[in-house]
Amino acid sequence: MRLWSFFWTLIGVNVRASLALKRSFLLQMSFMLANNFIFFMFWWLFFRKVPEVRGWTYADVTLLYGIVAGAYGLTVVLFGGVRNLSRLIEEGGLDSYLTQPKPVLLQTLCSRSFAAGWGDLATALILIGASVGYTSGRGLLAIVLMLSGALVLLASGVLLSSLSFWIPRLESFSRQVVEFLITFAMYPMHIYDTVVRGLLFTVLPAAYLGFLPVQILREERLELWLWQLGASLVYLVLACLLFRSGLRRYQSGNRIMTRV
Amino acid sequence: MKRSEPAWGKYAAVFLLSFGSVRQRGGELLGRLLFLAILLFIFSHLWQVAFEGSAQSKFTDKELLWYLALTEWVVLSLHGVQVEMERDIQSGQIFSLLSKPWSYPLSQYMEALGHSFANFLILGGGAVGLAWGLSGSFLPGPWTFLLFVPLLWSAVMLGMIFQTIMGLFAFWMLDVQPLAWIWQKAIFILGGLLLPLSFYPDWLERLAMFTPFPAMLFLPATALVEGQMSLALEAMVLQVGWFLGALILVKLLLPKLERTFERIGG
Amino acid sequence: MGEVIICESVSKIFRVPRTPPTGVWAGLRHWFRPQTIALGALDRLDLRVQAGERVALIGPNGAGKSTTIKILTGIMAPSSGRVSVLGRVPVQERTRLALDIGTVFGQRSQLWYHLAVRESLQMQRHIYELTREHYRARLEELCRVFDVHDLLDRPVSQLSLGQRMRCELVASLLHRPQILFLDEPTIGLDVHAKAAMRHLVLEQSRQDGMTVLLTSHDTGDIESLCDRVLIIHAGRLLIDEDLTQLKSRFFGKRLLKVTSENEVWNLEHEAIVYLKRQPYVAELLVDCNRLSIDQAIRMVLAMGPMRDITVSEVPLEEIIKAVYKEAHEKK
Repeated sequence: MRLWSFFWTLIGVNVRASLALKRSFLLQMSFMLANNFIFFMFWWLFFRKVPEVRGWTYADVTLLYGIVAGAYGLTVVLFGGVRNLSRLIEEGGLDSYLTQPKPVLLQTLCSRSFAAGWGDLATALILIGASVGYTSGRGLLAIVLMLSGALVLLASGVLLSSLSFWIPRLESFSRQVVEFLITFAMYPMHIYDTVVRGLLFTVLPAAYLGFLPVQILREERLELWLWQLGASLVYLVLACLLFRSGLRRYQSGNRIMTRV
Repeated sequence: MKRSEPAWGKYAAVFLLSFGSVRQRGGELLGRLLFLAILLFIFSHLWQVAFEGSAQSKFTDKELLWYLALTEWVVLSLHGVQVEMERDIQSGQIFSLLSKPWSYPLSQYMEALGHSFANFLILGGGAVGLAWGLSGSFLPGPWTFLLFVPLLWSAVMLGMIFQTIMGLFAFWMLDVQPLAWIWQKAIFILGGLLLPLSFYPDWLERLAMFTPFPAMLFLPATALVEGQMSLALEAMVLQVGWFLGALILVKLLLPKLERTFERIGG
Repeated sequence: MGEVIICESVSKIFRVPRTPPTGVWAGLRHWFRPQTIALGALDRLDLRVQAGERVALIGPNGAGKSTTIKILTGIMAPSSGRVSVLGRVPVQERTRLALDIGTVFGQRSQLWYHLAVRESLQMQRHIYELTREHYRARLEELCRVFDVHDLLDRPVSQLSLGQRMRCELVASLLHRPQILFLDEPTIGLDVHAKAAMRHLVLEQSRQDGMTVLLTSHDTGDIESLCDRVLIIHAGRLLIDEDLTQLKSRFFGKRLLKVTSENEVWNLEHEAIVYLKRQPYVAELLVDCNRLSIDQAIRMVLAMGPMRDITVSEVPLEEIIKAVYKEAHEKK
């Protein structure tokens, strides 16, 4: 229970820190909000000419975009530290965390909060409202699915960054793979054949960030719920295990020194 | 000291220097190529599926894919010169650069152009190869291609001038990230990066034509894909016009910007 | 050749915006019309340097040294006054002037960081419009003098600071500048590298008649390299003297460093100036023309038991400190 309250304290501190610089915070948030809507214009223009994409309508894509934006926003607001986890590992920055009596992973993940993420969260709430609305309760379900998508995104980030425990100079590579993950997640996946879709449900789990949640809200099948929630759990556990294993290696001093 | 080197030699030298240093940016280029590949892969499927049911207006799905490959070719070739200039100005390295006998903006432009040209060649191979592979056909006729591809490079040259101007604004603003952000969004929407402008509502298309962006992306890419000489000529004329406009802008802005920079002093 | 640098009554005033106020409205107003404060950096500075002279420009931080260099190299325009370097107005003919001057900024490099030294030097050749023959001959000569043959093919990022500074010097001397501006050139260097650098610059200057303008906080640089010292303080030229003359003014002076068991220093004499006056510790500058040193020591001992007394000639550093103090007291 102490761990749980520690978690909330950490988050509180970082969120408050990013909110403290009010001007910068508002600037970042509004820029990100505007950014997302300008990008979303593409879909508006697209659906003016194309009525539907294999059954998916403008509303479905709006929901998809909203959930993905929300998953991303949540991750960088609450667990912003995931973005430079790789660099921290490479540069030996975990040392100061190891000397403290709290879990290293949690501390590093919660060490930063990006104000721009609030713009993504605002985008998510607006787009979810615009597509499924909040009156029927489906909006709430969308938010729950968004949370689980965030967990998958977070887990992917941690998994990729943890590779830095073994392989040097992976920082820009892991960052790019996460960007690819998000790029794939922003587009509906039923346009691909089964092989590609298979990859997007396993190796590059972009499907759980938005596609599967939207399918759940369209088809309302229980097994899809189990699949989504189960997957988020599995990836989270894998991430923690890999990080723990890497941390042990780090502590044994066999870290590869990339910067003298 | 006897000098008989032409004065422009220094600008050519800095262009060649940065062009030749492409090997050191291998990781960055690979990242851009991968991103291009993923984007084209996604869109090849999206366009195929989009027009399954309805017969649609001007562009086939293959044409749209090639269109995207060409516009991304231009945009991804642009080198982030404004980031480097911003860093020079914030760190004070600018003083070392200003004490040399050359025009600072021109030297930055030529250096960035060297990087962009290397990007252009490599990304071009990627873009053309991917579009060909994913669509199954080499859409532009070979002669059309050879004739019109320089328009894409001149689009890059035009884009780089604007980015250099953005970098000059760092003399005044120190942080030009907001400008760069607006620029990216403007290119994306008003240039017709993902979708040709013909898909846009009329008012938006007309608005876009007041900016340099269609001349950089929509017009040359469409000219190449459809083999339309008239569009190519329109692109060329507009690019030249905007290029001259940008040069005038630099001439007017530069003294003002350098004066505001003095606030930073010693 | 006469005077290569002329500054007549040069002033520079910066208009610096006030720190932005808090609050959205005030912030917006400030963004559109910022309120500024005037900061005087140079106040009617007069400076003349002859060809071939080696001059040191010293002063505390914020005194206006960097501003002066920027104005002389044309990077900045003065607010008023006349500036002429090699017969040209720097800010109007910056590019043309730049072909005849060289700069070495201790903390800013002019070499391309990721490239081999040789490639940076090739770039310098193009920038300074040198013919291939002249470049080759000059490079050979400088490589010999500065001993950088082995460094030519190494990337700049891999060089030690001392090695890098030698390469910077080669880069700045390739085009045989008539004036060399050095801004903190030995900062961060070890003793050996400093000595090497000073010696090399001195030799080059003597050989080619190159004028040198040096700013440095290291008095060793000044003593090794310069014949003349200009001390700037608060934008004004305080002292413009030959180095030997400056030091001889202090020949008749001695520095007494004293550690006492008393907290208070109640020794006052017209021939004694306190350079430092703290509880238990003081530094006294004694004018031995007016008060003999043994009398001074006796007076100090008369104050009470002493822990330590050191008697020495006045080092250049202390001379400068004393000059600043005089300036302060005159205010």
